[in-house]
Amino acid sequence: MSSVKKILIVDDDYDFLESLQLLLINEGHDVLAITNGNSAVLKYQEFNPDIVFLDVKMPVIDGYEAFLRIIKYDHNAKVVFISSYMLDDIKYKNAKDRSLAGLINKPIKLDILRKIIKKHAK
Amino acid sequence: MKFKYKITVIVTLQIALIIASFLVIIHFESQMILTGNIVNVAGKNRILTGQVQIEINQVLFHDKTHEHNVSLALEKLEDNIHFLKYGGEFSGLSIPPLPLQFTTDWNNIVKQFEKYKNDISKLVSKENASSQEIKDIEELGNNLVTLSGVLTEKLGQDIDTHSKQLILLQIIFCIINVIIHILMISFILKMFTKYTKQKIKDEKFTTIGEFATIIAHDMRNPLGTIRNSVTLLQKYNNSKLFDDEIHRINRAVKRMSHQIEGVLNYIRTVPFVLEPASIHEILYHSLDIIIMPKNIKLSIPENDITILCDSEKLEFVFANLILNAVQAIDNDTGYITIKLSDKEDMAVLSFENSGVIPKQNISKIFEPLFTTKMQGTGLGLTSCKNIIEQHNGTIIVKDDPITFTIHLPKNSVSCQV
Repeated sequence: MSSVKKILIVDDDYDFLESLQLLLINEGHDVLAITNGNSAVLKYQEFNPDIVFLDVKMPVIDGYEAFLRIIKYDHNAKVVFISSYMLDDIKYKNAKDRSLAGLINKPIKLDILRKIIKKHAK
Repeated sequence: MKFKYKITVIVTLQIALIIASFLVIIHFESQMILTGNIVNVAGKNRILTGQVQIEINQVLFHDKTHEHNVSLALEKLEDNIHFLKYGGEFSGLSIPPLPLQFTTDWNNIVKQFEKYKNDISKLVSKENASSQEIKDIEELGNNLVTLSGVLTEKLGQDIDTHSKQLILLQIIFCIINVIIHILMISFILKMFTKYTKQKIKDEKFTTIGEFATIIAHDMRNPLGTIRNSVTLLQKYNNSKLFDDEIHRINRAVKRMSHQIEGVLNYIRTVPFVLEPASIHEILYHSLDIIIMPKNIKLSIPENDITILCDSEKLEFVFANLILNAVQAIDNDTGYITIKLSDKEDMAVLSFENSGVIPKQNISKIFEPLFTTKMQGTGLGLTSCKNIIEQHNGTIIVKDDPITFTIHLPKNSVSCQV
């Protein structure tokens, strides 16, 4: 199993997205950064990532919806929510029941990010 | 709910008191009515004695064959005297037995009746009764009426006494009810004022909470960007100055993040992520945001326990307790001693420090928005309590020396998220 992982990150905050992309590239990973949920679902199929970091609150389709579409396409998809906003209890529980890999709050600590990638990436 | 419960109890008590007052009054009145019925029975002796006298005169002066009627009249009188003593049902009226204090009067009536009855039977059996004998019988009859009258009068006096007592009792009940109603109304008003104040306070909290939540959430995105960029820059540092400044930025990010978590954990909007974690490691991470002053000696436990918990949230709790201790010690020379022990299925942590918290503040320390500091939201310790309780644990504080003691289940799988 290679330590270089294919990581898809999805966030509508461009600065955050780019800084996280740079950080993960610097960690040696192959990273694709997307700014909305709809494109993320389409790109997942092309890119076939080992792990997805998905922002929850996004325009057009939110993180929950994007998550549901991704796991519909790939049952074994490893998706981790990145949240800065209050989570909807019902939607979050529903996502957890459907094999959501984890949840991390912004600002993200590098050691936690490393642990999650090590634990969940395919 | 507590307010509604108290009002229900108060109103129920009032209703019970009113019912009890009425029952006591009804009991007294019914006793008076029953005694009134006895008076009627006693008064009837006069009429029945009169009838005996008429029948005697009929036998003596008109028709000797009416002797049987005298016996019948005497029998009626005797029945009435016995009825007076033992009571029963009469013409739909309930007559109680004669109260014991009137037994002597009744005995006098019985004695007089026995004599009256004997003398009448002797008189009517004679062929020619003398006028003196007739007069004696009349005298005996009058005595019997007088004795019945004495009893009637005593019974009347008894009713009068009861009537006065009843009026007094009604006045007393009226006064008690008025006093209790006034007390209840003032109590309800006091509770209502307290309830309204609490409601306004709660609404203020909700509004503040909603604003704080929005601001806290909005701050997380730029903070996330700062941390990502700083983490990346850290890898390319090439001077001590650069390294020091990066550390400073990191510490500032952590402190801001700590404040945000304080607000969000108070509102309880952050879901729990439970994983096995070392308490020792969480303690060390919590110290990252704190610059320990040189005047404070910090002791960390050497032993360790791994528990199932949300490590980021516990880090927040520990950092808060240590920060509070630092602020309580201020510029004095002091200590912070953290101890960890194993107690069956619980991990017990104590944070002892040499600082001072005024006694009157100890009980309010976990209340939201309670703060004596110039800095801080006043939500820190409230959030700590929330987090520990969400782990199904407990946190208590005692003074002299100030010690926060936390009990945490090692396996809080049923944590209240």
